[in-house]
Amino acid sequence: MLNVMRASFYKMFRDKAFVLCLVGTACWSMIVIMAQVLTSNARGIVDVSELANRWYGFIGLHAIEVPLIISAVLLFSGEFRDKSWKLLIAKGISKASYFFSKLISMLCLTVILCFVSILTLAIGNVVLLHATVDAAYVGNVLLFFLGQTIAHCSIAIITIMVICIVKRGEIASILCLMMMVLGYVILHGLESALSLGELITDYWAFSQTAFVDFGGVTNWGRISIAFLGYLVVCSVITITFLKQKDIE
Amino acid sequence: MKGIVKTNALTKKYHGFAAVSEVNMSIEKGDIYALIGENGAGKSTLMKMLSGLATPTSGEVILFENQHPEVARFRMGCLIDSPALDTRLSVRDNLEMFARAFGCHKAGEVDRILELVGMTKHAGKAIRKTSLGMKQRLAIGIALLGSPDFLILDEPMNGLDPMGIQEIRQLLKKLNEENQTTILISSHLLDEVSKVATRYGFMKGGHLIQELSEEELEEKSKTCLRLKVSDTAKAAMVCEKELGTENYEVIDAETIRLFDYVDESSKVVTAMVRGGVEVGEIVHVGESLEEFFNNLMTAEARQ
Repeated sequence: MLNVMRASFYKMFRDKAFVLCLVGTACWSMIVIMAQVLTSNARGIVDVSELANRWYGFIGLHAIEVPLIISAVLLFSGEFRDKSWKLLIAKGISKASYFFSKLISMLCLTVILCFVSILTLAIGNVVLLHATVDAAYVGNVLLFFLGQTIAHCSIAIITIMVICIVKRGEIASILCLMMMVLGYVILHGLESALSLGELITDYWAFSQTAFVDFGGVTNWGRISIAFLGYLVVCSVITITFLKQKDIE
Repeated sequence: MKGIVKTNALTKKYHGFAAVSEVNMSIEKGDIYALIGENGAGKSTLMKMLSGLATPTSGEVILFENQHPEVARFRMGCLIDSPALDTRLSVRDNLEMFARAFGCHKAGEVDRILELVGMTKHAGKAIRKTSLGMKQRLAIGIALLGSPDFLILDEPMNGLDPMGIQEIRQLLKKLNEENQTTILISSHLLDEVSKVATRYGFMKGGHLIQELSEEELEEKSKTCLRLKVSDTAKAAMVCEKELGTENYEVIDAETIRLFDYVDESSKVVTAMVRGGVEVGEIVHVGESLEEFFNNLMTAEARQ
């Protein structure tokens, strides 16, 4: 498993798509801040520096989710498209080991993208919205980074599961983006119909980012439970699926 | 001889259709085993089951005398179907990546493989810009990473030019002779396969219909004169006394095969007539692997 992970990282850092993903993530985060500034008048915000502490607005615009899904599909679906993963299975690497090595690589990618995105947001916040940089600000940024990383890991797990099951990059990306945009609406409709309150949507992977507050109270318990839950459930589903199918 | 692969009633069914049916085969250390069959005969499916890409519906595969499959497969190198390469990386990066994944940490391993498959000059080329022949060479190179004891090569000559075919053939021979690498190879280029193979397995409709050694095939496809004669005992005497050869075989009451004087049929007929033997028919018989294969397939289809 370690060897496969080493190969994944080698490939990731050799692939131009990875650099493109990092640059894209930074640009996307910058666009999110710009969008906040440009629409401030329309929302009745007179002093743009008021936006400096409204981090939910930045994250609410999918500053990390969109680049994460696109990066994952670009970096991980190629092995299924090119069928190069069959060489690893033929070399005696079990399908479970293969999945876990990809999962860990995906979680590392999430950490890197969260770091790039939040660093860009933090810098943009200072440059464009004149946020005051002090120990409290840095501490809040670090805690926010940690919380968002855990929250986005749930999304990463769902994404790698979809990639492994669908095996076609374009379909996997459409499915994940649809889950991001429509998932909440569908699940909320379902829980309303079943009178479950917000039992489902509270643990929906794409809702977890809302439980991480900048400089406020982060629901660490909920985001951690969601992360572990998705880790177990998605791993079982994906490995069962991979084991059932022969490799063409 | 050490067993490398043994299958017991190996079967693979897809939606009730048996792609491979009850195959019992064995490959010994040092063999170059050629799997020969028409399209859809089940060669690739059999190779996929041996390499762990497909799960058998029934039967079993025993690798390296019952070694655990995951350990055994680590000692194998595979090229199944088309070359499976990462199209966004270069030739060298593909080898580097797979070397890491396969746990080949030996310094200079990638350069050695590039040299072996004649790709040193093209190491920096992006996979997208390489020809099918280059991809095929690289795929063979990936299969050779870590010097495996057993190679499974499905149509390795596909897309190669005549020079490439010759180079790969020589490479396989060299690996087999110097490292005792056992090779299972399938190919449509029967004459090419016959230049390297030491054992043959013929497949049709998912069944392994015949297994032959190099010597057995040579014997079966030996060039000879087949004579229909009035008296085989007299004909045998003519062979020994008039023609001075014992290199003949009496097939039945009226057929005899003569393995000498193959290009001198008139001399043979004259000797027979002089010895009082009536010759009803004389046929020059000789099969290349291709002819042998075609005749075998036709005979099997009739059954």
